[in-house]
Amino acid sequence: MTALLEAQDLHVVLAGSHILRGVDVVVPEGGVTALLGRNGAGKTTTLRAILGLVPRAGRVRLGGRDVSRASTHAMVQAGIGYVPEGRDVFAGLTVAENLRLAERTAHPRYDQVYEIFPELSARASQRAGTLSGGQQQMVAIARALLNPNRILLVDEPTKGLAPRVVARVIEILAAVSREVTVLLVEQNLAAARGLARHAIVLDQGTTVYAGGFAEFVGDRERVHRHLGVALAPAGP
Amino acid sequence: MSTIVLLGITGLGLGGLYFLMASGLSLTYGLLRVLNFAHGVFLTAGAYTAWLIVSRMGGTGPTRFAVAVLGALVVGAAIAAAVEVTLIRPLYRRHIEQVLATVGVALALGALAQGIFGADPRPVPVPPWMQGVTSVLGAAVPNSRLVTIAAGAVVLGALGAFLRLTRWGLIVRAGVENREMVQALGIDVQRAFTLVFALGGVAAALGGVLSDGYFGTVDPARGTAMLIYAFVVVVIGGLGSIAGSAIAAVLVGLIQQFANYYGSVWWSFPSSGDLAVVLLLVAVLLVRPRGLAGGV
Amino acid sequence: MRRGAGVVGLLGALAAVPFVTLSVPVIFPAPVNAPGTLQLLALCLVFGGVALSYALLFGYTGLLSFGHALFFATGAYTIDVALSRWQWPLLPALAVTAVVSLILPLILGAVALRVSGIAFAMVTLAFAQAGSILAFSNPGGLTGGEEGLGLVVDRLPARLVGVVNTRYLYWVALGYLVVACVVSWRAVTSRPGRIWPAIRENELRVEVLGATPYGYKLLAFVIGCFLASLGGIVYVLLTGGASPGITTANLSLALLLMVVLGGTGSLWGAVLGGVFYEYLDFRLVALAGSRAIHALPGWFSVPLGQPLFILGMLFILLVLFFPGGIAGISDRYRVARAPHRRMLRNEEGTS
Repeated sequence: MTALLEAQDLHVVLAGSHILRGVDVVVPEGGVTALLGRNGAGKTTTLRAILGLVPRAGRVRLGGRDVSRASTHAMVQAGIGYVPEGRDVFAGLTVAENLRLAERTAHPRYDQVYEIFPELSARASQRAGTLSGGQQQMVAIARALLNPNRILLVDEPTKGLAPRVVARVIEILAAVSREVTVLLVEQNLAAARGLARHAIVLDQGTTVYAGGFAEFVGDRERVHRHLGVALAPAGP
Repeated sequence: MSTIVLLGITGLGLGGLYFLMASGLSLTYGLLRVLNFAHGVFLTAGAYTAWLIVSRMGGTGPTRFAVAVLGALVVGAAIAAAVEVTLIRPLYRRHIEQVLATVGVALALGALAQGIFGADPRPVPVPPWMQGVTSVLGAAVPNSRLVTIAAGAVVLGALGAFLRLTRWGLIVRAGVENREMVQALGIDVQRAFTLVFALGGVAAALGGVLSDGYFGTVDPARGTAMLIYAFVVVVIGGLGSIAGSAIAAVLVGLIQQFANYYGSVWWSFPSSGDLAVVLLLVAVLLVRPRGLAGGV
Repeated sequence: MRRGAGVVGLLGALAAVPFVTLSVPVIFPAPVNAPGTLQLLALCLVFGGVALSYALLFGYTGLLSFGHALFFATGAYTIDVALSRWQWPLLPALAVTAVVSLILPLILGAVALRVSGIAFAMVTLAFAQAGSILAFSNPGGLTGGEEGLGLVVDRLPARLVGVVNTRYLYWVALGYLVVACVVSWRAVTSRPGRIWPAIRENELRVEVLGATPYGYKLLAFVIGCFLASLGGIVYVLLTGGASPGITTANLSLALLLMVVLGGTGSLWGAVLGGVFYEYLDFRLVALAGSRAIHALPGWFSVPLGQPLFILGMLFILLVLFFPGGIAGISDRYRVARAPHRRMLRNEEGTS
């Protein structure tokens, strides 16, 4: 299987701490790859490093092409959709303006987006800062869906959301992942379980596992060692 | 009564000048996180360009004035864009160094202006309609004050329209909030930087032209002197907020004017206003470190 | 041990300067022990010390103050007023200046440090501007307004008065620099002093560790400003008076320039930066008036005839190409090649 996104030997130093110490990330084309690790392992930093949002050393390839020296906006233009942790919607802008800002092509896919998120159409002129957490998450995902992307980098989309909303987000991601490759950072293993085919696990700033998701999760000892959690056996 | 009206309008006029400088400073800080110490140079450049054009061209008609304004705006935009591209861009993300570079520009270009034009203020051939006086509520108000107020209002409106109605304005508004996310949406924020710098240069240069009319002289030190008060306005109004700058500019202009006058009349201390404004800044910062508009 | 010997040797050499009769053409306008040269050297030493005092705040603790000139001017004006307007003898004048120089930064710092970052920078700028306004407006005839206050020398010891005694003023300046260095050294190696770089790096982390940065910042602020005021005293003795030019933002920015020139974060670099800047400033003024410059075509003579133009351009080049300043140049030879080590060194520049 060809790797859509590849990052090699990523090093990131922030505020004096060496956070990423040679992280390797290989995201195969198609489906969802989960990026796992305990709090502080460097998952969010890895996504940001790939995009060049933090100064980093190491190589990044998108679709075989070396983009290590590309600027963030150029990489995104090459077909990356980013849904950051904390949503990062622009509070002072309306929902419609948030979406408009994200347009990259002459024909943004508003039909599709409003079909998935009808409430965004209804709230188009509402200031994004007044939306609930769940609604902001919808805006964040909608932004990434407006354009034809090759891969979505999604960071903890279910964090801090009510269970009903979490279920909806997972449903949307599952549907989306049928057409677009997704690299998903998720602390909530149960959420990732329904979605992910592959897994990459970080611990202490390096990659300690890369392979099938089910295979990793099946190994209780490993899960406990690297994630510090005990995973309940999969339900029926 | 007429004293109060005169002081009020003069204060508003001064506020207009401050706003012209502060608007660019505020946007520049909001988007680039750089305190542009070279901003005073943009004003000086505009002031001298206008003065040169007006001195060389014949006649006193509106054409001469229009050409002077246009020339000043072009020069202001050009110098601002040049500073951004040559100094700010290469120092991307190194905010302290960017600020220091603007300090260097302020020193160098300020000295250059002094070297070319001399350190003394020179009289400006102000167009007669600006020199004239209009009666407002019984007070004889110099037209230059009214022109400055009008210009401030026009720029406020234009900037507001730019920010609300255009795509670049949208990018700037979003960038002031979170420029990293704007990058992460595939937008080259660097171009917005240059644009904002240039806009600031244009507004400051306009301020320079109007200050020629307001004070009747052109002075190499004026840009720096006004820069301090422009900083005060920007910080009080909230960095990154145009509306905040407008309100703060009015406040500062009025306080400075009234306090200077009454301070001189009551206590023989004509700098009371300058002092009051500076202390106002301290008071505002202690109570609301982010300024009135709760800026960035 | 070797370092200590080096420092003592340097001190001895500096102290011996007024006995050196060499002429160094171009570098100095007159033989080394001539009053003019000695005064230049003394001023360089003074500003080395004042730059050091600013480095304690900015380079070392991370307090970006835009109003350091205020405290320099406080020392200068207070001693001048005490000696010239009130006609006090030297010792009481020094005493009152010392007291004012301690109390003023304590009060202003206590207020200003309630905010941080840009807000702090603006508050210090505002305070300095207020001071400048007061100096220019000559309240109660104290400060002499725009013309400044010439120093009345009746109450000064004879050794410190007169061109022929410049060497004694030179030694006073050297003494000041030594005091500044010793005080700074003791301060940064003391227990509170070791928190300062931590505050500069990451104030949040310091709070998390249970210390309140406020007290430490205030301490750094008061020490730095006090040292600057001492420098102001020596300055007034050297130049024969205080003028409002020393209260302006120009001087505060010049101090910033000195610290950056020496290398932000480096204390000994700041001393060198101050010395070098003051020297350049002085000599460039002389250069500006020189015949060599006037002989150049207009394109060159006009900008080069303005010392601030040259200094400004120098500053720009420095920031663009030598961000580490003088101290950084020596650093470069010691950095390993590994990219992440270079990152560790550079990452201060991230937003």
